[in-house]
Amino acid sequence: MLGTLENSIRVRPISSELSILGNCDGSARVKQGNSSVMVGIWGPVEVKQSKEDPEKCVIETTVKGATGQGSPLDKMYEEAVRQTCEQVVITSAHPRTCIQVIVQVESEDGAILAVMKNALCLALMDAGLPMRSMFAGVSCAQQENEELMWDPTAEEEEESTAQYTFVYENSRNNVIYVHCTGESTVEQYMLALQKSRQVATEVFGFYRESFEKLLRKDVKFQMLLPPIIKGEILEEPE
Amino acid sequence: MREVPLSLNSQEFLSSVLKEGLRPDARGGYDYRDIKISFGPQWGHAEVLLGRTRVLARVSTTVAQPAPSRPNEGSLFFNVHLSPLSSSKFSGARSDFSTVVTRLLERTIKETRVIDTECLCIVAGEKVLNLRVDITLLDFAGNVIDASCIAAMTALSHFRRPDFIVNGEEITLFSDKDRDPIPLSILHVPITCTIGFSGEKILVDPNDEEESVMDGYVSIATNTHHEICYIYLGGGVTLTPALVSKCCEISSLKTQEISAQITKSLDEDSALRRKAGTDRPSAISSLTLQEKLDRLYVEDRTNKRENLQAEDGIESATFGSITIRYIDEMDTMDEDGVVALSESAAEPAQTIPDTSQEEESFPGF
Repeated sequence: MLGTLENSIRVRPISSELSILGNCDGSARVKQGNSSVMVGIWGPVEVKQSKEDPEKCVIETTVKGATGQGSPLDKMYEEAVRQTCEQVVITSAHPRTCIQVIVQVESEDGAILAVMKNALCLALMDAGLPMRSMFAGVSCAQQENEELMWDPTAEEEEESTAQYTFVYENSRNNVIYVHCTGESTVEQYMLALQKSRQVATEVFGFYRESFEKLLRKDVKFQMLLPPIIKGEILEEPE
Repeated sequence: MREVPLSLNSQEFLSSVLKEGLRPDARGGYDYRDIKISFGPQWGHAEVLLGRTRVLARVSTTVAQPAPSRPNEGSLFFNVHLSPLSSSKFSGARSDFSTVVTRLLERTIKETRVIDTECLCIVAGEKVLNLRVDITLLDFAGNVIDASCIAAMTALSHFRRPDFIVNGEEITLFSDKDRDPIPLSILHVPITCTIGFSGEKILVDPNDEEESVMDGYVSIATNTHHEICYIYLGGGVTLTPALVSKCCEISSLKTQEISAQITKSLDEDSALRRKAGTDRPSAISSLTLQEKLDRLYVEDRTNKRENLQAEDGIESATFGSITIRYIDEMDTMDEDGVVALSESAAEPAQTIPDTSQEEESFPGF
């Protein structure tokens, strides 16, 4: 919506649904093209005594694929989701508790780790957990002709020589998570890392829009939000 | 996580209200909640919203060796996952209730021969297509059984299996892009209707609050031909024969309504896909004559074994004595053909209109 992306960067349409699950404390579904992920958060809730930490809350993650039995890849995703959560959520605010994060992949068509992270951030915000910053996942695939392609589909990922997923936070615009597969030169990697930040800025703008839409439904916030003017460009706080 | 039980006050209130023939959500005793059915981008991806109960069903297929007792039939497998997303009641692990739902779906859909499994046979005794239906409970607000059954039947009706050809000992399995996938042959549509009992009162489609105070329930699967397919009595309630036949009548009526709604939503989805051009991934209609001829040529070449092993763009996989080949026609086409195909495949996928109203869309940057 900010329209600040270079012409060479093209991403699929992104959409979200917030607070769609009635029982969870927070939930979000994010769709990017044909990839769709649902994330639900329970927490802070009581923790098993054996896992209890007197200093901070414990984060438990579960990732379920759309079809078939669980795979080792799901375990990798679980760890990735847990790491990001621990970095961003202020865990010391709720000692001796547990935050349960459940990720359900609904349909998989590329850039799945980035979609997971985006849905995770929206769900954490929806659950109202204290966070240091927001974060946005960006996936990028390097094609054989060394051109970069953002938000690739499964087919494009398969044809590519290297795949990157970067997660940026928005308080200092730093990188908080990187996942790379395939082979590339250091220069190519740096270029992808640098350019992907533009996409992350767009995603933060999208978060803002999603939440404004959600809060507009609530009378409490209607007065605080700026009125909708057609064609208005929303500004991202720097 | 520990389940939060309903408070004693709420329990008392609910039982007294139900005794008077009222329901907490102001429904009549015979009223079913609203059903919303939506579809995902892939074939066999359906989501059912029954009141607030949300169930996701995904159908997938694999090639495998058939059971020796049924050499010419594919199999149908159900997996019910009660995700901890849905309620603090469910841990996500296999539980008694998930087994009940799985067994009920097997009895209702598999054992009444809804799918003509002989159509899934590739080579008798050697290779068949196995179907797997993954049911995930995303949000719990009562009556998981009916929601799962509706989701499973909708997803199976929506699913398209890959096309294949058999030539001698060789099997060629086509991807969706190369040949249009084929709908399953569905012989009838059984739908379960769950009826709860609270004292003398009948509660069709009980919600989560009602489920926690009712004495028991009966799930009756009937199809559109007014045939009873399966009856399951749960919760240890006893019924008189007259009440059972009354419940069967109710179930039969509800099945008519629900299956009409399933058909309607399937029609709407196929209309949307036709409009967007994603109903036929191979997009034969948009090809030029030369491209169509190229396709025929590729198909013809598959019959010659010696040519194929060395060709580019054809990957083969060996399973025992049988070789299965995946043909990538894109590579065999000229440059223009590739561009035409990839455009027609990529563009419409983005324009599938979403039926959900709550969705906040953020069209391309």
